[in-house]
Order: sequence, then structure tokens, then C-alpha cells
Amino acid sequence: MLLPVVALAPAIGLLWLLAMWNRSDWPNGGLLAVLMCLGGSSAGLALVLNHSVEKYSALWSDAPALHLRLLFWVLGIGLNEEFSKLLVLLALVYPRRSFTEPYQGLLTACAVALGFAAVENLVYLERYGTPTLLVRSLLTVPAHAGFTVPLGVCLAYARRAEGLLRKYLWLVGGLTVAVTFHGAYNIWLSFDQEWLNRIAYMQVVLMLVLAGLLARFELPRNDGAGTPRGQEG
Amino acid sequence: MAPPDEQRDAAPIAGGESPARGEPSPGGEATSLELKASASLGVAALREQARRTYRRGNRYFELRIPNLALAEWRQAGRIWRTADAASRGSRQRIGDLRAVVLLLLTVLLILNLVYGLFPRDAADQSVNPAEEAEEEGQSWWVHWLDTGHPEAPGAPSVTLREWWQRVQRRWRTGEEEPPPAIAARPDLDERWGELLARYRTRGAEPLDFHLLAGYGFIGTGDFRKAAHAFEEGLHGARMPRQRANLYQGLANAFYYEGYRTGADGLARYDLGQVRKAAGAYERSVAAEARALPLGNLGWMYFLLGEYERAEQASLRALSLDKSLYYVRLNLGLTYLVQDRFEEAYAAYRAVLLSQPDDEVLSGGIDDLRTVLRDHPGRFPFADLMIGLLERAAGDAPRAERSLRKFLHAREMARPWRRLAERALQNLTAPVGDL
Repeated sequence: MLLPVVALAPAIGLLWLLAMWNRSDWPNGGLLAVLMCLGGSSAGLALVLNHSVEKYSALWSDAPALHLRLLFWVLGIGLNEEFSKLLVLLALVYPRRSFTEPYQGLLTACAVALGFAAVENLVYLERYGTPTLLVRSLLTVPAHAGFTVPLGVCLAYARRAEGLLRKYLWLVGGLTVAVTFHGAYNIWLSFDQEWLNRIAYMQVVLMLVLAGLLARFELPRNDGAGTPRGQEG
Repeated sequence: MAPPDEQRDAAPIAGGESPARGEPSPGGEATSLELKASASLGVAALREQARRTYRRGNRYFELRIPNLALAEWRQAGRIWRTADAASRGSRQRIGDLRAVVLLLLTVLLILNLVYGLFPRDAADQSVNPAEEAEEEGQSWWVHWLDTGHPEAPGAPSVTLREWWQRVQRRWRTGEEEPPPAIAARPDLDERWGELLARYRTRGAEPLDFHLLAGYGFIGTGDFRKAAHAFEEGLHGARMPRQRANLYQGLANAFYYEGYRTGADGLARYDLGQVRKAAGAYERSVAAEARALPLGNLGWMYFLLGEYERAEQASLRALSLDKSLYYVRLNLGLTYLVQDRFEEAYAAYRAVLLSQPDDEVLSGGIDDLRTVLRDHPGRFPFADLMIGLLERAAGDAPRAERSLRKFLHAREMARPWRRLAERALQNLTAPVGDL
């Protein structure tokens, strides 16, 4: 019973931190919790999509040709998982009139990604046991947030953009960045070389720094005006 | 008419109709309330309201009440701007929807490209999962979960099949923790490492329990458990040799699982299993190029009809170990089915000159017969080779039958016919004398 709690705790803890950090009315804690749950269910969809790629295409994790393996990590796992998270954001966040600010995209994307990572952690707990779980909790849970933050921010910019082309480019751009981050992270970890694994750790740190910078620029400041952005419109 | 700045506000409103008498007076508090209420209206209704308000202003102007006229025109301008904003919001939502649809189509296109540009090998799909499931009494779902690939070590992903198996196990046994046998000895691997480091003979390879277990299961004929043991071993295998061994064992398990002997005593192969075995042999060879798995890989390619790759793998195996007779026989067979008779004969002759055991010869004969069974009348040259192999094995009556059968096939070139005739004339002479 303890291990599932350990599997879920990092994601819940990080989400709680985000909720505490959030000074606006929207998204509120309730919505973030709902997004986290739906992010978790999107992990199921990703599992099915990943399986389909392995079963019906030549791409798989141990394919003989290097290019097939690399494509699997980027266009197989990376695209499927980020697309699954994106569907939740598109269904629940993007249509909301209140959704206008990039920091809202950042928070909501983090919530979905943490839910996804929490469920993935539960699955890995079965597969690899406690040591892997602890490493994943420290590394992969924040990594998932790091992959999806640019997607959420770009979603907000797409919402603001005028014209179909600009909106589309923001959406595709966000997904491309998320998939690239995710794919690169998988590629570093898929090799046996320790130094390549270390690049994955460095990538997580860089992504967290990027998310921090975005948050710093985008979160509403408490300037005493008492009018946080993002009111329900 | 209205002053220029007010006209600009109400510019889109055309005409100057007189408002009906008795309409409510505009301006002041009533006006702002009216504006708030109008915000909930549709764009067309708002514009119509703005027009009516503007006309009221015109009417007041005609009645020489400029203050009220000015207030009405200002109000008309505000309502018109509200309608503009509502229209923009509506366009924005449609634009958002279109962008989302385009994005979804883009993702679908990319996935389509992935499946279209990198399709799974057709041989992989050759086995109908429904039929296979029916044969083995398993659900279609279980077969769908099987990707046909061996599990990969060190990969940062969990497959649907693994997840499903674990859910099933939990459901059946209620197991939450690892099995007690493992839990009771969590330090087993570490202890073995320490003991081996202390007592092992210098130069000896470390003991791999998964490898031992896998081959043990192969010995008992439980190939699925064997495959599972090898796959479990691969999760922790880091050294190339260890991985090569485990993949080789895994490939053997897949191959034997799909191997059946027919009523004619000849082999029948499940090509799906052969494909899986080929994949595992490829990984074994990638980890460490060794003659035996290379030779086996060549045979897998032969069974899958990939003759060029079969030839390459067999030649590579022979370059590492020339004494692998079965690989040379496979190479001969590969040449034979491509109608490259000179090269085929050279390969068979090399084996015959080496005077191998009867077991090697009978293996070669069975493979040739399997080819004849699967392609009746297509490869008469196979009869000549069977005759030569039977002759070398000391089975003169069968050799004579095979050679005569070959001579009945009239399409073969004269030199081969002469060879068969010479072999028939002296059924005991060494092949070198023919």
C-alpha cells in the first residue's frame, strides 16, 4: 500500500506547490485537480497508441536500425504521449473564455502532465520495483511537467493570436517543442552509456529552469492592485 | 445632422428614418442598463438595436432637441462597438475551432506517415491472430496485446501487454508485493555476485540465472516460460555478451515454439514465430557478432523468403567459423531456390568433401525435401542434391531413386544430368571422384 502512495506523492506534491503558487482565480485548485485526474486517464490512451505503433509499424524500442529506434522514441512515444495530454488541454482548457494568459497554460499543462506522470509511475512500480520508482519520482515526474509546459504556454498564445494561420502555428509549434523534448529525453535514456543518461538529467534541469523563467515572466504579480488577471469572462 | 465626431461613431448606420412615437427616452442610467442588457443579444440583434437608436437620435434632431439626439447617437455608437466586439469574439471562437481541427488533422497525418513510411514487415502479419487464438484457446485480445517483438531492456517505456499481464496477475492472486521467494532473499543477486567473485575460477563467465532458467524451460518444452525468463534477464542485462546470450536464447525459444513436425516427418514453421526469432537473433548479433546466431539468422531469413539477407548472414557466419556444416547446407539451399545451381553445388560439395556426420547429412536432406514439398515440381535440382547426400550417407537405394527422379526432369542442363549419371554408375565412389 505504501508504494502506490510513494508513486503518487511526487506528482500530488508538485501540483500542490503549483496551486499554492497560483495567485489567480482561474485556474483554481479544483480545476487543477480535475485536470490532473484527466491527465492520468490520458496515460491509458497513450499506452494504447504506443502499443499500436509497436505492433503495426517497424518502429520499436529495440529495432535493429538506429533510425527506427530514434523515430520510435520521438514519433512513437513522444508524439503519442504529448498528443494524449494535448487532447485533455484542448477539451477542457482551450475552449474556456477565461483562458487568455500564458501562465494559465503553464499551470494547466503542468497539472495534466503531473497526472500523466503519476499514473505512469504506478505502472512502472509494477514493472521495475521501488528503486526505479524513486529515480522516476525525482526525475521523470518533473520531466513530464517540463515537456508539457511549452505546449500549455503555446496554447495560450494560440488563443490570443489573430488569424487561423497564427493560431495553427502556435498550436503546432507547442506540440513540436513538447514532442522534441520528450523524444530527446527518451533517446538519452534508451542508450546504455552513462554519459548519455546524464544528458537526460541535465535536460530535466534545463526544462525546469525554462518553466521557472516562463512562470516568472507570466505569473500575475501581487502588486496590491487586487485585480489578478484571468477573471471569468 | 449629428456633429462629425458623433457621425464617425455611428458611421455604419445608414438612413434617417423617423422613430415611432412613444419610444422610451434614451440616455442616462436607462441607457447604460440597456447597453448591459444588449450585451447578451446576438450580433445581428445588437446592430439592429444600434440602428433603431440612431434613428431615434435623428428624430430628436428633427424635433430640435439636440441634447437627446446627441445622447441617442452616442448610445448607438456604443451598441455598435459592442456588436463589433461580439462579432470578433465569435470569429475568434470559430478560428480557434478551425485551428484545433487543423492540428488534429496534422497529428493524424503524421501518424499516418509513420504507419505508411515504416510499415511492419508483411511476414509479421501473416498469421491471422483470430485463427491463432482459436487454435490455442486464447482470446483475440491476448493476441492483440502481443506485439511480436521481444521485450527490450533498459527502455523507458512499459508496454500495454506487460501492464495487462500485471493487472491480470493482481486480479487472480491479489499479489501486491513481489513473490515471497524473491522478497525473502532481496539480496540474492548481490550475494551471488560476491560469492562468485570470491570463489569463481579466473576467466570464467558469471552465472546468468535467467539464461539457465530459459534453457531449462526449453529443455522441458515450455517455450513461453523460456521466452519469459530470457526477457526478464534482458531487463537487467548490460554487458554485450550477456545480452547476446539472452537474445540468442530468446530467439531459440521463439523458433522452437513455432516449430512443428508434420505427418511426413518434415518441419512446419509458424512464420510469425520465425519473424520474432529473426528479430531476437538480429539483436543478439548486434550485441556481439558470433557464428552460431549469425547462421541461425540466415536460416530464419531463408524461411521468411529473404534470400539475399539469408546469404549475407550465412556467409558472415562461415567467415567466423568454417566448420559450421549446417550453415553451408543452408547457404546451398539458399542458392538452389534462386536457381544459382553452380554456387549451390559448390556449397553442397564442400560439405560432402568434409565427410560430416550422418546427422548433418540427414538435416540437409530433410531441408531439401521440405523445399520440394512446399514447391512441388519447381526445384528438380533439389533431387540431385538429395541423391548426392543420400549417397554420401550410404543409403544407396534412396540415392538411386532420387537421382533417377532428377534425370526424369528434362529441363535440367546437360552437365547436371551427366553428374547424376556418373553418381548413379558408381553409388559408392567419393563425391570428389564424380
